Amino acid sequence: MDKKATIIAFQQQDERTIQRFYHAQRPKFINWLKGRYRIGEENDCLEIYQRSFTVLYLNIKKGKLDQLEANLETYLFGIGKMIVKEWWREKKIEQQFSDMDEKEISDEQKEPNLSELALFTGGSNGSVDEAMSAQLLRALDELGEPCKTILQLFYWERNSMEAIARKTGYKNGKGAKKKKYLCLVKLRELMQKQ
Amino acid sequence: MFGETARINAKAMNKPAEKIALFDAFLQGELSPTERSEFELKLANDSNFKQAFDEFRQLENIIRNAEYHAIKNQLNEWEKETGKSQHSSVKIRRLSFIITAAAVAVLGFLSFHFFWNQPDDAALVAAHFEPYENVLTVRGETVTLEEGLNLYDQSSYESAIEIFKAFPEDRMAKFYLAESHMALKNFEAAIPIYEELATKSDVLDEVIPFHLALAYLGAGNKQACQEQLKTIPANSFYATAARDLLNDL
Repeated sequence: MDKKATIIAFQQQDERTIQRFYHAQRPKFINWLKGRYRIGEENDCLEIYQRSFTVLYLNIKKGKLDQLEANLETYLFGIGKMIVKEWWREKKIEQQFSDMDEKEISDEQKEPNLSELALFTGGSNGSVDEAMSAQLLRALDELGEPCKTILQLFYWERNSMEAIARKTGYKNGKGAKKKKYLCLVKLRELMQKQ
Repeated sequence: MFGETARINAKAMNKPAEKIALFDAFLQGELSPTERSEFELKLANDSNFKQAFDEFRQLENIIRNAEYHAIKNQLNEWEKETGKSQHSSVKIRRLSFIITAAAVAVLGFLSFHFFWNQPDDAALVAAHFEPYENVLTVRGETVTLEEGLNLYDQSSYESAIEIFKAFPEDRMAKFYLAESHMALKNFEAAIPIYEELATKSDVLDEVIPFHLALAYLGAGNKQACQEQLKTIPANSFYATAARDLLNDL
């Protein structure tokens, strides 16, 4: 599958294609981490790969890669370099990383947004710890439909309220918006209960 | 307090929802200039109002960031599925074996001697062997073996071999030398190199045992191949492939 088709498949959330791409890149990426950065622990490698893949996925979804000239694999490895850097920082051995490389990262590979990478590190403003996210995901499940879909479409898929109304059967954006507010109240209650 | 926009949003909702509607209208830039000024004034002078507003922003922040973790949960599910999907994996691998065997059969008509000694084993090696990726060369970086690795990347294995041979003390050069021999079906040449590499432990721990098994098979030593495959641990990346190959033998 060529780059454009893969990007479209990601944007349409074609799970089969995304999963295939995830598994196809995994061994090479992990071997690269082991060989290049001497990260020996399989779990650490997997963590870094998943963080990198997540950033790639979200950037595609946001349309940031629509004009990408490099191939997706190069971009993924570019993200990987940034994630490794953040990962070393977490491990407080940044010096070792800067001794190893970083100098060759091209402009194209610098494209990944560091503020997004920081979401994983807990070190930036607005970052939320994993436990809080897990709590939120449980609350969303408990919230049920249509609230779960409305909130996901608004906050995760960046849909307008008019688009959400069309997708969820509300008469118009105003109706969907009112429902969204009620859903947020309920969600907050569920979060406080946990 | 607050004008038309907020009142419209708040219509037919309970108190907490009204407050959220107001906060949302402010954040989405839907308040009129007057309403916005009123809002900012209240934010500056009413600590309870400010606290409620901060909590709402925090809630939105948590929802947005939870997407990252939802994706990561999905990736972990895929990891689990991969571990469980041995049956489907076998199907895919068998299909790839059938395709390879069919290709070998066609070649048999064209060249009678091709693979005739061990047709099944040769097909199995072809089905399972894929030259290991060049994990050393990174664009813009000077690497000692770069020239050889570039040739390797271009599948110019014979030329690559000549360069790799010039680095007899370099473990990576030896590894790619063995891989190049495998790609050219020089199994006998690859075996002693893999055997030597297998005595040391490093990042190639997973691939070497599996490719050594394939080299034994390619060279016609099925028993050594089976014994080698049995040494591959269950947590190896090649565990499923090793199991499949053992079943096929």
